[in-house]
Amino acid sequence: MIYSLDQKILGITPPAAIINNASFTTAEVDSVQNGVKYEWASIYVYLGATDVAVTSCKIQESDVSGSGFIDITGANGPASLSPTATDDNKFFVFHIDMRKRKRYLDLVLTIGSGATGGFVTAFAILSRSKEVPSTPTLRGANGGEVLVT
Amino acid sequence: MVNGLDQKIVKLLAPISGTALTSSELDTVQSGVKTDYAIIYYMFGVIGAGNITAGNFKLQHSDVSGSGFVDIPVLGNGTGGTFGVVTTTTDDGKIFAINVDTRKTRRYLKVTCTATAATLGCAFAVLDRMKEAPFTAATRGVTGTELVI
Repeated sequence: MIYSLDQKILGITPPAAIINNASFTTAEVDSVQNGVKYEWASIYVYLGATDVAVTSCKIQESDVSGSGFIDITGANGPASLSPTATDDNKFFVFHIDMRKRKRYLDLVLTIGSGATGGFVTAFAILSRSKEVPSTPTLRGANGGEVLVT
Repeated sequence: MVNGLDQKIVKLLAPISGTALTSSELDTVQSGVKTDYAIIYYMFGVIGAGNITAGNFKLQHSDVSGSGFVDIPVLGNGTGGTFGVVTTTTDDGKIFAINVDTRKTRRYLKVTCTATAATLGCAFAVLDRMKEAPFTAATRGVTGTELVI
C-alpha cells in the first residue's frame, strides 16, 4: 500500500506575500470529502523567513461550515502551538483524530508585529478514509500530478 | 495505523516569493533507512506574469549529493517527470504533486523550477513506506513542534 496515494492534501493558506501583525486567511478543513469521512487530519504550518513570533496558532472545530467554531481543548488546554521569531523554515504540526472531532476544522493563525513579518503557508493532509481517493483531483492535486514509476 | 505518523515530511522550499523555486535535494535515505515512495508537493500562491513555462518544472535525480542531477526518464518519452505550463491565469493557489516510486530512482531527488517573474510558492516532500517507521516528532520531520490530538 502506498499511503500517500490514499491521502488527500488541502491547501489552507497558500503561499502569500509576507504578512506582518495580522491574521492569515485560512480555509476551513472539511473532514468529509465527497461524502466520505476521513479519520485522521494532519495540519501543517510551514514557516518561511520570519522576524516575529506567531501570536496565535490554534485549531478550532464546528459542526457547521462558516460558524460556531470553538477551540479544541486537550488535556493541557487549547490545542495551540507557538512558533517563535527564530523558527524560520520549520514545520509545526497538529495530528488530529477526527473520529473524536466535529466535522469542520479551522486554523487560527496570527503573526505578531515585526520589522517585516513572516511568510507562512498551511495545509492539511487527510488520511484513513473508508474510500480512498482515486484521481489527482480527489487526492487534492488540483494543479496536476505526475507519476514516476 | 495512522498514516501521518508513519511518514516523514521534508522541507524542500520554504515559502518564498521569487523566480528561483528549485527545491533543495531530497535524500530518500533517512537515518540509514531507505524510503520506497515519495510525494513531492509544490504549492503556489500568485504566479508571476509569464508563467512557469514548459520544461522549467521537472524532477531530477542523482546518485550523489550536490552534483550529477539528470532528468528522470519515463518509459515511452524520456522527458521525465515534468509538468506543462503553469499559468498565471489558471493555476494561482494550486497544488502540484509528483509521486515517485523511489525504488526505481537514484538516491537524491530534486525539482528544478524557475518562474518567469516573482511567484509565491513552497515545496515539501512526504516520504512513505519506510522499513522502519519514524517514532518521534523529529524523525517525522517536524522541525518545530508537534501536537497529537
